Amino acid sequence: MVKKSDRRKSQPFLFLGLFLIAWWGLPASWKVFTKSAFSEFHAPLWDLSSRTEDLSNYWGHLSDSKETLIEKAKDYSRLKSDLELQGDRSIAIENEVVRLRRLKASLEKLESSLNLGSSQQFDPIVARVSHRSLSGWWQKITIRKGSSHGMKPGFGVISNKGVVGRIKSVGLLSSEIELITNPSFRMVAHFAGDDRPVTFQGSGIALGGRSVGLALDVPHDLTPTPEKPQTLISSDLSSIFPRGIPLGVVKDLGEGDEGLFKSGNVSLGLSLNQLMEVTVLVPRQ
Amino acid sequence: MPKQNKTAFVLLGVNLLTLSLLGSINSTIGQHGFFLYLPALFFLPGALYLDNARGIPLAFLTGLLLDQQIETIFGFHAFGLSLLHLLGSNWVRGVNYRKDFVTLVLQFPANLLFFVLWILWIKIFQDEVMDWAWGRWFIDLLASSIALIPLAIWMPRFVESLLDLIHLSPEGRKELS
Repeated sequence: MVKKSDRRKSQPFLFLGLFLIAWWGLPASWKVFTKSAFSEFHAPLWDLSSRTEDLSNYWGHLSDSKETLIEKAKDYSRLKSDLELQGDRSIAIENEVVRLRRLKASLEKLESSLNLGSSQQFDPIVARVSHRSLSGWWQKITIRKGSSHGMKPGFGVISNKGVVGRIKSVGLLSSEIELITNPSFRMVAHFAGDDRPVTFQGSGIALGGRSVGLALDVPHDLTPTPEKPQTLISSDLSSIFPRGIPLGVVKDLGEGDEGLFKSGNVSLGLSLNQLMEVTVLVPRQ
Repeated sequence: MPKQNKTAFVLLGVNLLTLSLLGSINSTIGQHGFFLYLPALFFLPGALYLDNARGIPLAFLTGLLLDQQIETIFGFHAFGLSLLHLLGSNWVRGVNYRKDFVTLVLQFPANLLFFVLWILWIKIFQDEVMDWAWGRWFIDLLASSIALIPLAIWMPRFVESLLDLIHLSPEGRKELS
């Protein structure tokens, strides 16, 4: 016979088990709502820590030593002389801008006369990174802009190094971005100089912090080698990125699972650790 | 009883602070290809100072915060920490937890259990959307276990000092015994 004290001790375990079953049965929408509420709760903390880091950098520079200040003054004078040189070049560049604008106008005229419709265009919004979560199983970053800045789930995100990922969830003042290293991240891509679409899939962050991905469904005639690697670029077929944004470099391809296509690893040029700012691509209506 | 409620809020604050600090550290060290995964840190203070009526909600809430932060299945750590609270509160009150090795002996296997359960969960149920390569898993386990040694000793001491400071510690423990 079970002792009364034993029964009393096992009661909390029983309640926890029942609660687990009840939790299992809760609608997914409720869980998503609760999770986003927790995300909203966390966001100001990351925002605060990111702003504190910015401020400490600023103060750090304010208390620079005399030697550092002299070095910076030298850099400044170099930059100043470079600026003067650039100023001289600006006239030539202005002429080039006029020429390119004329070309663009004639291209738009041709597109409309052929009834092609111009390719998807985007408005860039620059956002500061407030937090990175780069675990082995999931990689995401949080930025300081949210729905109040026009962010929406699904928007593409890039940096000066290439494609970063896409917005997964949006809070009022912050958004979470799923990075391209996640295995759930798939997109259409092209090899530079080739129009045929291939599939890109994230493959995590390897030991030492190297970001990797996979190139799948690659035609057999494409043969990159370590001596002659090929660059994988984004495709406008994906509708969230314009064509030509670099994804990474492929050095070798092997036979795919079914033998119809080839597949291989993609070394991403992206330094996730150094991402301080990203650009969100907002599609024009 | 009101002291137990206050203690629960203080512990929630400590857990939140530790979670945020860990998140910030991981945000910086993630570049080197390892991640500090330390869920076992968060059940011991609750098991030491709170009864089940307050300890389980605290563990559950902390677990949900952790689930949101490190993108695990929503509820995984919440139930894991609640279960560890129940098991821990039965063990820990009978031993001299003030000895540092006791806290380590409790938290080390608990952390290892989370590591094993989470990778099994990913490999069995989340194969299409998540991946945790075995090499990365081993490095993360090694780095987290090394980081756990000082943190597992620090956290109960920090909580004890904090509760002492706001005159919640001795009475809180007496209420339970």
